[in-house]
Amino acid sequence: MGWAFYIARVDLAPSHVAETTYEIPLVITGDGFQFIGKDLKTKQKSISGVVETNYFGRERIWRITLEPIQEQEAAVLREFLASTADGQPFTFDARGTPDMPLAEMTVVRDDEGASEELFIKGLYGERMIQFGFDVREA
Amino acid sequence: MRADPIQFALANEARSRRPRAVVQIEFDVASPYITSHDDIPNVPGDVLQGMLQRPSAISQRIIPDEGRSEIGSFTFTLVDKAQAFTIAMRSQLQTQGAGLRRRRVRLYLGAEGMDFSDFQLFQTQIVTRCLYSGGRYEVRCSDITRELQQEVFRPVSTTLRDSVSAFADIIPVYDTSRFHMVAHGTSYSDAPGQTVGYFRLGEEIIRYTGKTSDSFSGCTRGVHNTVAKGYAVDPVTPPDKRPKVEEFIYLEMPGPKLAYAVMTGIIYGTANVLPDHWHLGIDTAFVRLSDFTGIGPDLWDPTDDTAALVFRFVGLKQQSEGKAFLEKEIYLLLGCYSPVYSDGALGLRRRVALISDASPVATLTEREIVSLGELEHRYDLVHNDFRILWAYDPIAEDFIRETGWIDWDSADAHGKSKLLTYQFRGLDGQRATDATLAQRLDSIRDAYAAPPQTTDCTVLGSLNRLEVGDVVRLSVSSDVLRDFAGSAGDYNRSHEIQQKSYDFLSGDVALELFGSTARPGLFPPSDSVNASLPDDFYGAIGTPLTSVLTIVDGIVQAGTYNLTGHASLANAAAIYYYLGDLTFLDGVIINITENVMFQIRGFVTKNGDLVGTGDGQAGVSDPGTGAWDDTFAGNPGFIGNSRGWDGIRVDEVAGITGFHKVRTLPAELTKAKNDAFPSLELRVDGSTLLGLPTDLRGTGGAPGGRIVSQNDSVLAAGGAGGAGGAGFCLICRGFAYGASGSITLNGESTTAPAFITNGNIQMHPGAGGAGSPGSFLLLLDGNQLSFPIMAGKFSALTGTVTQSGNAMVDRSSTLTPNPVIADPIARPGNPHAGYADPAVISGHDYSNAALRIQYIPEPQVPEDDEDATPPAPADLVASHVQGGNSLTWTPPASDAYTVIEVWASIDNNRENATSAGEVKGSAYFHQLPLGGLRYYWIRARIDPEFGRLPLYSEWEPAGPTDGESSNIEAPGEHGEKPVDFTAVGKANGIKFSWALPSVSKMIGFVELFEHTSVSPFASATLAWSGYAVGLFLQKTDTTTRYYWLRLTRSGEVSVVEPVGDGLAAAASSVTAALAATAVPDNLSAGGGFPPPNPKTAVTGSTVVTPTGGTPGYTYAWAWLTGGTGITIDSPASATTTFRGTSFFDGTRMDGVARCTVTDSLSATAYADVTVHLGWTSIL
Repeated sequence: MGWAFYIARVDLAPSHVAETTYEIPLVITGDGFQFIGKDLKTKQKSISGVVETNYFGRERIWRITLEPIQEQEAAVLREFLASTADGQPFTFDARGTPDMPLAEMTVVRDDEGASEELFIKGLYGERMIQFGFDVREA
Repeated sequence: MRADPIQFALANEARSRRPRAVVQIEFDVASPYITSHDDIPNVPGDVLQGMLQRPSAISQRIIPDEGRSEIGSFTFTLVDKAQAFTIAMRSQLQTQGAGLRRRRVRLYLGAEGMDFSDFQLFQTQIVTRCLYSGGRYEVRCSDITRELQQEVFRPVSTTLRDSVSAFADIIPVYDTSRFHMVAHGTSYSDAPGQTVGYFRLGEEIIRYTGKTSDSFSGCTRGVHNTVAKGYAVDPVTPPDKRPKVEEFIYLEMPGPKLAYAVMTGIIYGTANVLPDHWHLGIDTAFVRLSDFTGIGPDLWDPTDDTAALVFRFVGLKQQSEGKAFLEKEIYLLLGCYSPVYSDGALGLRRRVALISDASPVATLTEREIVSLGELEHRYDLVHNDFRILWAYDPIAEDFIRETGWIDWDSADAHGKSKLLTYQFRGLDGQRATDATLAQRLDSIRDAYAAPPQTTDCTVLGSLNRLEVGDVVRLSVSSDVLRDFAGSAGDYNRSHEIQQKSYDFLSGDVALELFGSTARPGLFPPSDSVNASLPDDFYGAIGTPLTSVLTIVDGIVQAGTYNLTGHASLANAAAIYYYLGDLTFLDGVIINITENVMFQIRGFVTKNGDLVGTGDGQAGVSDPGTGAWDDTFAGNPGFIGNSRGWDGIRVDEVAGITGFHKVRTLPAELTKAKNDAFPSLELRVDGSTLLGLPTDLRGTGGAPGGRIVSQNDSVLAAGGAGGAGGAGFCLICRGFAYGASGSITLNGESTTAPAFITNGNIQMHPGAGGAGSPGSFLLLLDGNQLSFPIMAGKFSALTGTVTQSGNAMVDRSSTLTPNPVIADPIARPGNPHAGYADPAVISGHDYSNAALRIQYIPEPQVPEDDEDATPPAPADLVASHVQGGNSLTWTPPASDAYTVIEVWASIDNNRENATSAGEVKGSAYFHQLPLGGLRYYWIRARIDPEFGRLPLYSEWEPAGPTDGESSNIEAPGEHGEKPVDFTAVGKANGIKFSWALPSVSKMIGFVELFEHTSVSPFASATLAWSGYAVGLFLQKTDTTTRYYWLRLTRSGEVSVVEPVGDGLAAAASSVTAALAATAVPDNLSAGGGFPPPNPKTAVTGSTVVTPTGGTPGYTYAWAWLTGGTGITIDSPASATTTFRGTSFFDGTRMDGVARCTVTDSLSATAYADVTVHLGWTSIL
């Protein structure tokens, strides 16, 4: 279980008000929190093999995959993803809760667009949607 | 090379760096600071944290042979997080009215953990463009030289208000408000020491000393080689259509001073400024004044504006930009360029001379080089054919003088290059000579006489301290680089950095390198001077060598001598002289200190040794006190940089193992004043040689790096720097090395101090910087002297830096106690030493770079600039023909002259010649009705435009006593003059006779001249004139006088006869003057009474008696007055009576009769008789 605080701005869910901060629970799959960070550095190597390194920092990026949810419950997630797509920094904790944060951090979206995958589940053909997105430590 | 503080250098030069960057955009308030990271402490102002993305800078690119530089640039991108930058710029624009354009931008570099106050300023540039895309801004900047791209020298103008004469000293105009007067210093040739202004009216330049709102006063007319004229103004002409009065911009100063004034407006050393439109308005904070004042006394002596080459610009106008003016007109001629420093300031540096051997700031090996581009032999950049246009005429708007010069040594070896033409408006004929040009060209030839080489080189980011204009030595194996232009073996040659770029992200430092391949040949400045310096130059000051050396018959005897010099080469204590040829025997050892100059008025043969090793600038010691990161500069010398070995900074000591985490602690680089001995601008002024450098001593090195503990304690001072070599200057009239002669001016070597032990680690402080060699200046007095062979005879080595201990293989390392860990790689052994920085200078050979041989230019007298004169006519031939002389010649090209003037003289002396006529063509007939010998000279004349005086060619024939005779075959015979001139003395006179030529028998007159002396004829006076072949010239004495004859007609005269001395003549004798008396001289007679009438009255006789004269007298009576009715009875006799007849009594008749007596020589005398006749009246 994870969560995020964000400011709703576009694709508002029913009863949501623009420019209002909302908390959204994020149910992350078991392997849905993958670290894909990298170091920001350059290297030079002289003819004789001497290496100099310029280290500027590191990028901490996670790929988040949420458990599928029923389509009718997806409005809030779509609002969250649309509102944070513009680089809005938001508070994110992949493991804790607002009351008991475990790894709270400020992040921004790093993907080029959230993924949204449709499933048909069960005998009755329930339509389930699985969302995925990337966040980068701001 | 940038000198970085220790703490910054430690971070910036580390192999593992965590760079940080900050860009400041300068506004009056709330200047934004844009950081690359958000962890930089104490960034001032409005901080935009972590938004800076990619700063990269490209320096200016210097192009020495064109005397210009391309403008450097700096670009950075930033992420507009939360529109912070957009908001900040909008706020500046809307609330402060301050836009981003042309804002000054500063790039600071630092490292993680470094306080912003320790960041180093890396670039200062000006915003030129701003682009936005995808949430990012890209800001592009240009360096400060862009500020120079402003128009300058656009003259202001008004119009003439009223008519003025050529003599008016007040010039009425409509508006003088934009005209300004300028204070002249001593360097001005026109109105020095005065505050004046100039304007142009028509083709006349006028100087004024005062003005009202609508007139100029105190005007001096026709200055700057123009002619004063009157100007008429039609009162009905509208004001803006009247004659234009335009400001005339005139500057005359030493080049560096002039450049500083044009940039800033400030006339150095005074409180005076230039008018606003004469300068670029650069803030003085952005001009490094010390570069200008310290450029060297041959280019500018700030204490004496007249001591160096003075640039003279007259009639400057409409320069498209100040940058081009400064670069092409001043810097190129000075042999300089203007570097842009990291703080944005503009400086002035000499171009690097003798680049292949110049003293480097760093040596680049395979260890520092990331990539090396192609080495190109730049055949296109060979320059050996020069053409210089100079002495600009602002009225004709063209150059008056042209000097061509070919470097045949270069042309023979590499082929003649494309003609390189320079134009120098500031070189004026009043100031400069061909010798000036030759010396200035030498600074270009240093680099371009042989094919230079260029290459691109990328080096490690730790060398981002390199700067444009620095000299680096490329030292790589022949596996990496091969060059047939150099010596065999590995490549080891100095190069100048002409452009540098630095990428903050990649760390790449890309360099454009330029190097020469050979020393240019030396050429004397002209062909015919045995000695440029007068004899009395030698021995005027200083100490006679005879008092300090044992000299027998011009030979210095073997022995060791110690000569003390002086810190200044100009000081008398540094000067030793000898008046004659001087030979130094083998076995002579002369030790010199400081600077020493030998002035030898003769030929020097050098067999002995002259040694000045380590006797120049002192090395500097580290006191071992102060803060751990204190540094101590060395003493900069004339040539040769110096840098010692690094020390060690202990960062951490592991308690149990005793491991030391350490970093190399940089030593101080001491930059010399020159990378190589520059070409000097020498000038002989009377008995003074100007332009000599004042100090040739080599650099004294700075201390080596310290050993500093982890607690910032100084554990050991760095080793002392070595002393530089002494400087030596030799001025002589010829120089040759003997078989055993040598001159050695080496720098002093250094060694590392003893190691210290910290914990269980032994560490050596760095050895001090080695002394660099002193320089040798050989000045040959006389351009017929041969160029001495110096190879192997002059030694100028830097000292060696001998460092004990094992140098760190990296800039940071872990030093291990021995023998705790066996790994030989991690434990290089004890004791340890700092890193071998590429800037360490040890054992370099500057025997070429520290040597300059120049011929002393002959003392030419600068001349006023003149318009180009026409070519002279040639082949004049004169011949006598009937009625005059016929002349023919070969004229110049028809469009090269206006007329040919013909001048004639009766003798072969052009001073006596008068104009005979003028013609456009190749022949002239000189009409001489009497004929006559003439001597002729002709010349071509141009009647110039612009109201100038006429221009004349040389004379033909050239010699003033080489006139072309009209009677070439037998000059001196004069068929047209009177001949057979004789004189015979007679009583009371001289009888002359002569014969006339056929022409003069028909026409003309004869003139007889007389003089009391035998010569000259010119003093004789005309005694007679007429047409005759003989003459009796009366004389009343027998004095001998001298006579000449000549014929004349219509102002034409023949040659006199005799040609030389006059013909002597005198009267043979002189008789008394003729006189006459009548006795009696009063006669009366009466008619009697009484009648018959008429009655006749007769007087008695009177007798005239002559005296003197020449017998053979004749008498002639006549009435002088009255005499009516009276008859002279014997009018032709000496004796006569007078009578009269009357019919009437009371009649009276009166008169005065005169007897004219004439002697045989026609002399006359007079005797008068009064006659009264009366008839008595009857009443």
